[in-house]
Amino acid sequence: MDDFLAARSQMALSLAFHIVFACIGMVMPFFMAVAHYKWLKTGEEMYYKLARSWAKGVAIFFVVGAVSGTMLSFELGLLFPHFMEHAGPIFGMPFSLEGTAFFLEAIALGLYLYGWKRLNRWVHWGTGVAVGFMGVASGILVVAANAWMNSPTGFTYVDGVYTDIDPIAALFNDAWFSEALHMVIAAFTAVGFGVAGLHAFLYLKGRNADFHGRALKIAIVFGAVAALLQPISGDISARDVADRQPAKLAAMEAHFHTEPRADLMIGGVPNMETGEVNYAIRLPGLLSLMIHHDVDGVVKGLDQIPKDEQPPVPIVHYAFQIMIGIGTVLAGLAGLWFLFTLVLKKRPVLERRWFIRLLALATPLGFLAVEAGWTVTEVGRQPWIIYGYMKTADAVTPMPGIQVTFFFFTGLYVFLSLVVFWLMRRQIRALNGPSLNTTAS
Amino acid sequence: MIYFVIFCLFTALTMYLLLGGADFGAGILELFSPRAKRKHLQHVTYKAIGPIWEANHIWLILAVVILFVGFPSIHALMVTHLHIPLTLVLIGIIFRGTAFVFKHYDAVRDESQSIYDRIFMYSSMLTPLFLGIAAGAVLGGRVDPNATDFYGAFVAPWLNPFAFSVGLFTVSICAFLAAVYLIGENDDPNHVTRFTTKAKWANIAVVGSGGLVLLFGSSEWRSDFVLGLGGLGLAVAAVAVVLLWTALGKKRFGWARVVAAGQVVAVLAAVGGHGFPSLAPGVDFMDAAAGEGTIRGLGWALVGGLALIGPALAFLFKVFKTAEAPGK
Repeated sequence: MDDFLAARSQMALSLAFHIVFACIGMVMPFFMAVAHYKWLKTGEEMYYKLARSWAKGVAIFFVVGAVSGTMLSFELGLLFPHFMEHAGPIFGMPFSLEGTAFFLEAIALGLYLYGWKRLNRWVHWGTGVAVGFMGVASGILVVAANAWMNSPTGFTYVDGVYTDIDPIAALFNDAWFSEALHMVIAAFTAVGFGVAGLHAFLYLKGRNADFHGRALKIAIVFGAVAALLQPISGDISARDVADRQPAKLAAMEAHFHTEPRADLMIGGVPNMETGEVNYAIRLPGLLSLMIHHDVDGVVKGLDQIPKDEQPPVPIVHYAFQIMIGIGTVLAGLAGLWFLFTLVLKKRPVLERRWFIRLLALATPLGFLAVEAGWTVTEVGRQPWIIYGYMKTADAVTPMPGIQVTFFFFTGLYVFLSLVVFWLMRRQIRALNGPSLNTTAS
Repeated sequence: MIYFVIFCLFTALTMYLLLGGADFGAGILELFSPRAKRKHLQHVTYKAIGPIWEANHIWLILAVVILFVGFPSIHALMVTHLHIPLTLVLIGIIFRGTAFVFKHYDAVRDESQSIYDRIFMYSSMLTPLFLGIAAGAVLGGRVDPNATDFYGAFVAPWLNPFAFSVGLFTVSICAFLAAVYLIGENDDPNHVTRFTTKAKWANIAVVGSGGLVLLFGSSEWRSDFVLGLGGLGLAVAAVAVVLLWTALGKKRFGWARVVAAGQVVAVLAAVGGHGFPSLAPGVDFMDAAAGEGTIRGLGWALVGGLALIGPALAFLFKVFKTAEAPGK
């Protein structure tokens, strides 16, 4: 593994690790707040228990997200110092603002986790809500920074020098809105289905059914609404990408030939040598229709993009297909949820065990979609690190031996994931059954 | 505006040392405590820092952001040549944060607790040690952007006595701050006495390692430092040592905290200010500053951010520092 690949792989792995915890940190506080609210309004002990249990989960996931985020803020420089030297002053605004949001989030979390007896009950509840809002805010801001990499604005580039820097223009780059919208909805989808799925699994096991049933019902609503909104956001994003980063769109769709009435392909194995896609289900003209809202619209293909400016097509294409496939499945489950709870109301949805089983199986899907989506946008941006201005290869650290840190941190992330998984099992066991050494809540 | 931004950078670093440093210090104290006494130390520490420790460590991120936004060439220099010590800092941060939260949120109390403890203690020492070493590499002017071999470019800047003594100095300061802060968190007079002794030993370690820093610095740096603002800082710190031991003797623990914090601020101010705007040979804030638009944007973002963070942090401290704990 050469240094360049090691650096990219390390960055990719750190991001892939962090995003799971960041999503949970962004979204779970809202579930926690809903349960807490229901307790304050109804006084039912079950909701108190749920809020406290979820709060414990938030605490653990938040910390892992925070330390992995600290890691990333250093890694940007450690792995790509040449990039940071030029990009830092330009896209620093979203980072500074994100730092503030994150700081406020940590303060709110401290107040929420430890303030049960020290704050007025509604102020205390408010801190829990604040954790959620600050988390979403910091997520939007950091995604705006990433959006700048895809849609660089706010500077003038002359002979390798970036001047006339306008940090506000950089913050409000052309891609920030579509990226931020898509990410926030994705986080709600992934965490909604993830938490609901876990509780669905536990509900089916039979112990503490009432507890898990209520938990499921709170989480799934967030996930289902998000899953139904996501295709709209996806459409906005795809049309935006087709406009600004045609290479990325061409790779996503494995679209080789620039043409009008371009076919939408479902699945398919792109053959990079022949420029063909095999085994795909083709829907004639649909790609042009979706991108341009005009069947005769011309969709730019890979044939118009110089080879050295093309991203790795197969990876981007498969990741894109995985993301859309999962999104469709989750939207389907969301539709069923609303069907069973709003229309076919006579039978309690929890009694439809086959459906609850499907929800349980769907637990990891949202997170897989998030990882796939990030693969699409990050790998799809290659070979650029600043689209159109700086290539990733020119940004990487000159220090050799990055394989060492890559293998070390890979091991560390695997280790941490296992520990978190193990901790969650212990939490669930303690919650569900009698245990000798449980700590008092 | 540039001065305000630099001021914010130093404030962020100072707050990180005063607050986050004390967190690390608690773990370092645990490392140097006999096993029998650790449980009590952990209990006192957790009571004191439980709610606030997350927030304490964000000052570091703030400092890094100000650096890469406002002074990108200094940041680039550090992350390129000090890759190894900074990686060790990160490893410490990751292990420490996760060990702390796993310890307190694990649903089951069993033998895994002692594993968390050990990871927590060692990582609490690793991070401040290598942050200090990295700082020492910069301050000693050893970072050489023109070095061509691996050793010269990526190892020599930080693998030297001066950088290591700055690292030890940082570790001692962290332990010192933790010890002084924690005295007042104890009710039992026996514990108070024990912690006071810890604080005194830690203070001696600070003075000793500070001496090593001066010893291992190059003679020109030394004369430059001592004859300038550094000398003033050292004088203030020396007076503060006397004040501190007096306060400890009189059991005025609130004052001891103020004096201890003041000592640290004096040292940092002296280090940062003595060559201002040059931090070290080849490291000049004015030369490295980003363009006007960036600095202005950063400055206003900091104004807005600190205007929100300040009151929020004060509120957090107020909620948890008043109520039960006696004797400030």
